[in-house]
Amino acid sequence: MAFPRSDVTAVPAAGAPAVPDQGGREVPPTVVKIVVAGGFAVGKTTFIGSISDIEPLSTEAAMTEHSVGVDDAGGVTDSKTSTTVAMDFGRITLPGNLWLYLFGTPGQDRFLFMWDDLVRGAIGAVVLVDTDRLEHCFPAVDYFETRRIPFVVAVNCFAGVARHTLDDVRSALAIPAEVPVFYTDARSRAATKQALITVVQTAMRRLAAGPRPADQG
Amino acid sequence: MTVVPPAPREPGGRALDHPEPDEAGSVRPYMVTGGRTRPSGDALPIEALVECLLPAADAESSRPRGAAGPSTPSGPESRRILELTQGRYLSVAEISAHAHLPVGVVRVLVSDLAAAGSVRIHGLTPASLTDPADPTGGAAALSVLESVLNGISAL
Repeated sequence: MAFPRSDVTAVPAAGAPAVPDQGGREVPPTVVKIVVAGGFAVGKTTFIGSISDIEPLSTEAAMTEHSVGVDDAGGVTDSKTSTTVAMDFGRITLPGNLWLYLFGTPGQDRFLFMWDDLVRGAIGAVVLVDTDRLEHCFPAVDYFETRRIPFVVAVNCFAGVARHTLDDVRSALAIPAEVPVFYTDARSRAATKQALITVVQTAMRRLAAGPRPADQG
Repeated sequence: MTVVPPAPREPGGRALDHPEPDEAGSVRPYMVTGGRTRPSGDALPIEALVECLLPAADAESSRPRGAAGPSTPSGPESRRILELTQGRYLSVAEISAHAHLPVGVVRVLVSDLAAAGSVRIHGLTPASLTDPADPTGGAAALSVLESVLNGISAL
């Protein structure tokens, strides 16, 4: 796995182009990330794989967190939980020595506590929606809206069939007007590319607009 | 759970320091970090890039070269991280996937390796990307976002 490195120029691994600086040393890439959220089995890994330069990888995020919640029996739980969840991700190398990572969120509500870690420093998020299971993306929409993280809602059309209009989805999920809602096809590189462009544009608009009055009060 | 057999012993009776790599799977993940689940410093982002600073021979040697130098990796997991990051940048998340170690374990080990001068950490995402209220970071963040937008559009 390891690559030999000469004194003058490093030999990069595939997909990791080196950009030499004036001293002949490669400059490390600038790293950015976009989070891909949505319910279980909505197509997050397919979405990531449609555009990633590397085969989507899966890693175990084992974490111990303090959590407070209500259990199924109605009792309040307050405990340290130790959880192991699979998290899929991919990487796109962009011109200008930029690496864009796409991280899929673990697909169940009870792992929301892990998202802070995943989302910190992200450009924004794509919430993938399966219109047959609209309610599965409620937690994701809530999460990003509450934390004022730029996000877009991408309605995944399996087999090219749209079962609900975008207006229906927007009103069912109570998506604010400034959040883009659009159809996508997680299998399509072109559609995924457009979804990512929309996330970045949304983040840029948010940045240009500055803090909203609500943030100051 | 699996019962972990007693550590193999050398003829002299001294326990071996580390299990062979094929036995590593029977070690509970946080054994390799001494029970710690958080790096000593700020939590390392999963997208942070790690670069091995040691020559290949040091990083790949199955045994540390004596006790000299603070950069000597201390366990098979740390050596695996050094191998993976030899001559290229690799994120914490990718190291975790390739080395089959949980992200939290990789964070701790990478932080230790960085503190020992064995690896360098790059590519920390500007926090301003998610903090539009930060007046100092806005312009820089906007220029990064413009580059990302142009880059994706050109795909």
